[in-house]
Amino acid sequence: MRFFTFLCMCLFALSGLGFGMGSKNISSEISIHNLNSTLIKDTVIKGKSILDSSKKSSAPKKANPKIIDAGSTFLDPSKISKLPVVSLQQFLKGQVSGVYGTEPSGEPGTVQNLFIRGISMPVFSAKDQFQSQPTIVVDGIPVISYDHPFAYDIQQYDFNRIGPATNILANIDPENIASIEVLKDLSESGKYGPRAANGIISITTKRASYLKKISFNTYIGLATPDAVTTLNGADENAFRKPFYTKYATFDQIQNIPAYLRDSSYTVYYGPSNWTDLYYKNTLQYGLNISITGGVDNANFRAAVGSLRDNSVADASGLSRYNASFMLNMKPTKWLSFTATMSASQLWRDRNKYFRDRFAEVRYLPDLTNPISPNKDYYAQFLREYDKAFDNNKTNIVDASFVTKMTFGKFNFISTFSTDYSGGYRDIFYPRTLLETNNYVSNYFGYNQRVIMDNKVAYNLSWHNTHFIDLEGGQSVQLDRYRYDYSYAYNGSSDYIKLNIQDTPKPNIFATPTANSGGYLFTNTFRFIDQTQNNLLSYYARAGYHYKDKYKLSLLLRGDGSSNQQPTSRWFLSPILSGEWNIKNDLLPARSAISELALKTSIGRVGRVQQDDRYAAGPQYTVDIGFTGQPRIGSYQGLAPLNRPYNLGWVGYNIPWAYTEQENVGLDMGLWHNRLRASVDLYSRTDKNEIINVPANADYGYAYAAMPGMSVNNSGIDVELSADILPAKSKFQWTPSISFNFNRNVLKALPGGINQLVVGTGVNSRLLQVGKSIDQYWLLQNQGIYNRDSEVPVNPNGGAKLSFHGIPLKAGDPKWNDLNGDYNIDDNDKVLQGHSLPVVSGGINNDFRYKSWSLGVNLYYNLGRNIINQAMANRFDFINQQSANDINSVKEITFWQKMGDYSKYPVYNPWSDVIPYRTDQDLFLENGSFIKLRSVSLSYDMMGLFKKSKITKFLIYTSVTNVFTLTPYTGRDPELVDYKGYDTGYGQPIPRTYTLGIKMDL
Amino acid sequence: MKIRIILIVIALFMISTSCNKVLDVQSTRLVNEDNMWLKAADAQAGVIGVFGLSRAALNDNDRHWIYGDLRTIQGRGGDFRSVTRLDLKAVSSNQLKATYPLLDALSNWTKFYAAINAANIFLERAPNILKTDPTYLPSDLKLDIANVRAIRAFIYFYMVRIWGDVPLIITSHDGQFDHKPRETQKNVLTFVESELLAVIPDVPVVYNSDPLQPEQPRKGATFFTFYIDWQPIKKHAAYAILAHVYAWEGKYADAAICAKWVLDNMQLGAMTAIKQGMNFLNIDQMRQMFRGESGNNQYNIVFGFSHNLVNGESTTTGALEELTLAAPYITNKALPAIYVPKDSILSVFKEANDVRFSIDPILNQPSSDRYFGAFDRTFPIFTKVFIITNHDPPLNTLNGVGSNGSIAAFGSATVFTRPDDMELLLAEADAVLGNTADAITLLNAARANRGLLAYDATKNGTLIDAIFDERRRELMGEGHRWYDLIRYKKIKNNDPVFNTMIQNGAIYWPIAQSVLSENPLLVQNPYWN
Repeated sequence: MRFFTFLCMCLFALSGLGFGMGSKNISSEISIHNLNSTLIKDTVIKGKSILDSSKKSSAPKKANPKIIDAGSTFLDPSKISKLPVVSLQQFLKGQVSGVYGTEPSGEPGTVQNLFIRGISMPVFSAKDQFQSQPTIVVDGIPVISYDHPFAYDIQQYDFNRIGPATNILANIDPENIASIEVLKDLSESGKYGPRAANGIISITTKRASYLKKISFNTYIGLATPDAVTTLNGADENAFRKPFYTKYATFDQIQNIPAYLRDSSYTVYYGPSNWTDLYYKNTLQYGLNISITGGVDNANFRAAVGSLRDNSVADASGLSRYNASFMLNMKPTKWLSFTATMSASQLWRDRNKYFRDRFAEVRYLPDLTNPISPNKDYYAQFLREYDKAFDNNKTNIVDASFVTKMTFGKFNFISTFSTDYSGGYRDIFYPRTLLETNNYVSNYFGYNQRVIMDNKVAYNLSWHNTHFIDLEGGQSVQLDRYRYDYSYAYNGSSDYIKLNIQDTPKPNIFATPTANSGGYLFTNTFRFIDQTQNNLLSYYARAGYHYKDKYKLSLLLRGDGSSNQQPTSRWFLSPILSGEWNIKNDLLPARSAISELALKTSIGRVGRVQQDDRYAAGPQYTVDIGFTGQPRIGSYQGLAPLNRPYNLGWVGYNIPWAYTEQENVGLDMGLWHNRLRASVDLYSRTDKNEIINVPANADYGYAYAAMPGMSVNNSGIDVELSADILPAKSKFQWTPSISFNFNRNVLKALPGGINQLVVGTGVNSRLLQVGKSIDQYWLLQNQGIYNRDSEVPVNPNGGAKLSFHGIPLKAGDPKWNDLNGDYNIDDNDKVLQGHSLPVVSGGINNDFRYKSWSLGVNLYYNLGRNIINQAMANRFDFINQQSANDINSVKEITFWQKMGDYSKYPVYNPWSDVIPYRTDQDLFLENGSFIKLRSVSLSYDMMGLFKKSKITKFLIYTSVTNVFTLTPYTGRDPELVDYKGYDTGYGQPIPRTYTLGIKMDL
Repeated sequence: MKIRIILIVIALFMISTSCNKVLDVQSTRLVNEDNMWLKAADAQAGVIGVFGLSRAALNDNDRHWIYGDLRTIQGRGGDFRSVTRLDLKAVSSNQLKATYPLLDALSNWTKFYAAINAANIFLERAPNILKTDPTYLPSDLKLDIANVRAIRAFIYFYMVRIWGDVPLIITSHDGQFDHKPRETQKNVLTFVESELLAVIPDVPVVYNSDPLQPEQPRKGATFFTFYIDWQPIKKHAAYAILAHVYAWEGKYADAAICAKWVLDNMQLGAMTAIKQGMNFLNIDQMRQMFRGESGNNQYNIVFGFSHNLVNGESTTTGALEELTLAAPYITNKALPAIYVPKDSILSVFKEANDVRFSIDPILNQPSSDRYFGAFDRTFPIFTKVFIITNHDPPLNTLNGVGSNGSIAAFGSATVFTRPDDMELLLAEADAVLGNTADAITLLNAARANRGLLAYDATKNGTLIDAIFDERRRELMGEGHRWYDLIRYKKIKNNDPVFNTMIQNGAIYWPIAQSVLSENPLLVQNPYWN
């Protein structure tokens, strides 16, 4: 009886419901401390934490060996905390098989993606990427991990979301993490219901304890930029010369852009030394102090931390300040409370990209001449920037209050928690930065989630052979997202920098010249938007296990979402999981096999729509914008209501989208767990997903939002690790490898269609049933037509091979006419490559000798391709300069050599067929890589402090991003956007040297 | 023990009370079908939606001007040329199937059908409001319906000029989006004519609550101020659109009647009472008219779509200025996207003392920058339409305070027709019908208003030529040129190359592939196959 209460306690402890509580209930002589050590012992004995080489981890790996845990992987946070990384995505990259983390820019605090076991739907737009993100659970609370993408609706360009666009997951201080667990299949993650559709990353923070302890962790680091080759006007001229010599007409030569015309013009032809001001060695630091203490029935942990991460480029960086507090109280034997509160603030110093600024300002100046590569001129620009401000602040506050009551074999647990993140961005750009227009904008937006969760658990057993645990509960999650955004142009003075949002709007008809903080109302634009999303769930779970041999668990849950139509509001999901402990059952005597278990799970969970428009059915909204002007919201100053013609038709009878998952895994430990392996085979099929299908054009709709897309991800996760040398040995070597192979296949499209083209022109992508959803759709480039006579002629009618009806000429690319109709068009495009890796993972080697330990971490991606768009843009200079659109913007990095120009044919850049278009395999490259991500060396100084109060004293040093091996010819193959394009915009991920100390008193 | 039980009971109570109610969230971002068409305000929002979508259709990718002022086949067509943009070059070289996103967008009629669908929904659902909102009167409904029908007719007329035959869809088919084949242009235009004729009795000559005009919204009704401020479709607008429809069809007798009605009723008592009589504007007033906003001569736009600057409707794209303006008038572009070549300017504006543009014989330079500025540059700037947001109030000249061009967000109205257009259209009709004297009188009035001497056949060519030359000068940059050229060639019938293209449909645009592939009943215009 006591034992089961204890098991139960541990379960709740794992669920983030407080640790110290209830120990008195077990027995008066088991203190919290004992409970802790029991857990630690358990971990040591089981030895299952694959990445746990130190075997001293306090990760509560398996508090209750009876709980089925197929498909979850723990991560030892003590190693992460030795690296100068900021975001959760960075912690997890390459650490856990099946978790793919992206880092499209080295700029600290920018949005990064995580995908667990592939993507559940195509990712072709900034909005799409959020639909495949896993849910982050902190101490049992599913937190909001990204700003709601609805703000993209008013944006002309989706390079960045309006507002601070800060990676909210940069708020977690690794020093506060006790363990990170990745729940990849439904046996474990199912309890989070629809939030588990893309997998769960469950973080347990360090617990409160009555043990008086002060921990002190700090590091400083130096980030260093790589050397780059700079270019100037002469280089650019030399680059263009072959094109002019070969193809230019007289007019075209006359039209050579002004900045290249005169080679004595030192602004462009002078020394190219902008890098002196752009790339710099920068310092980083991190600091965390925590304290625990109290008495048995009332104890706490408090921590404060501060961090600064600086990019080596463009003076961008991130500051983080965080504080957290946890309190356990146990006023009576049967009642306990745990309260946690954490707050953090992120300040981001953003890049100074022209593109991002013009996109924010929604205004394009004349782009003919780029900024000078000379540092004197670049310094002038930076000085103007000094008059500007761009404040990006994000506040994140999480709080939870857990009440637990015990009544015999019943446990009642009630949780109330809130998660809030509020982002602010205040911008002012002076006149000098934008053709005598100044610009001001103010943004405030928040995401808020309130969770009320109640559950009852009951345990039962017969003769220590049959165990039954029952659990039932209900939870309400109330989400609210909102933003207020306004911007204005051309204020009366560069010295008035008011918050225009706070200024009330007067009657503009009465006072037409009225202004707000010096900004005319004709030049002021305001937006407010809000959306809610509530989730109500009921669930019941029954678990049965027989001795330590067979385990079976059935979870039934009903989830209701306010983003579903009233006729299909509820979704029922059953999840069945089982585990057969082969070791205990069949091989108890075989000492070589220390652990062998087969586990499996099957089930489904719903997927919450992030947009409330699908709940409404046919609807009316404000949608009278046009190309390049999505935000226009009135006619004659009056608000319209019309069907969502641009966003797409929404009909009735939209069912729940859901994900069906099957998982079979084998956990194995050999020779006293010196060799540990875990292999999981999985298949995950997402069904009834909504996708915009071009439809009803003759009724004005750009699309119809139709349910019925289905995507399957299947693959294998492997984790292997070994202690090569015997435990007695002074020298220890623990290699470990994580490996994921994932393939996605489009199983169905709405309405039974077989293929769907998303987007137009060079950016179009093809979705074809039976093919992968992350493939590029490209023409096959086979060289160049050097003479007009080389262009094939159709024997039928004598027409020359053409491109969309335009006859090809000398200097045009030789594209493969697949269907032989003598016209190159979309029908000649082929699905090629993958933007996501087919194989990814990491290789770790940990060495230990006496007090020394050395960790070497490699990260790899294989079977992945990149479109080198930065290269295409350079070659497509004629269209770039003639268009004067957002794609023609030349950053200061235009003067940096990226890649090898010599391997591309010299096409006629003036040709109507746009020879250097990105929708051809000319720019498709193998983006596989293996990267030595970090090497860290630490020395345990405890030997010197044996008799002092110090319980831990570790100093360490590490180097990150040591080298990358890749066939990719561009820059770092990680610096790629969500679509798989290397736009040249990602800031480099620097090599960083750090020195740190970890100390417990 | 007791407390324990009580607490558990309370907790269980908490579970049971959180009911389904939390799932009924009323979106603040949209209105569903059940909550629409209940209030007078819904009708207003619906009407505004139809107008807003029509504006979006014409302004999307600047298509009103690209269709009208840039399209050229074999040297015959718009006066404007692209400076560097290759997609615009493709329009003036008739490469309409080149793969530029612009051409794909301009071949796509979906934006027009959005306005039509919004109108169809309004016509089906708005009558419901009479039952649910007593403040919405039958007369309000009648007026709203008249406005919406007129706009729908206009959009159909606009589309047949671009694509020829188009599907004629006059009900919403909501949720049952059947494919429709293309209806012949003739039948579509018959529909357009009948619709416009039907709404004329239902719209007033001016929105001023005059009790003598029973079509008016009544005082106190919700829309009262809404229509007064705005003055959407009045009788003049319906007649003016109809005049263009008839002229396009070659029904000049009917066109003449309609155009004449507009010209004869420009100063009705009801209009002058609130200072909204229509006038032939002088060259300075005309520039102000393009602002299209209250107090800026907007009553002289017989029919068009405006951008209300004070309410943040200015745009950086979707206005002629986006294409035509550049330094020195605005600072963000060194060169305009399109321009009228100097030799074209000099050949079109060759008469002395033309207040729009003429070369001062003494100084040998342009006498004003009312139509063209920066004439000394390779690419002169078309300055006729010049509404940038920091004119407040807008200025008649380019040189006043606040017009430094530092912010290139534009607010010009898309003017479909104005009195000068009607005057010349009537002259054209009279000339075709043989009423030469009337035609010359009208033409001379138009010429006199622009500083030109009376029509002289020896200098100005045939009457038809002179009328079309005057239209070309007066309406340059207002999206008329291409359609004028087609009417002109039909009248003259002396250009076999162009007349063949009228016959074989080369004058129309191709239909976007995306539209074709959605609806199997559609066939491409044969010329573009």
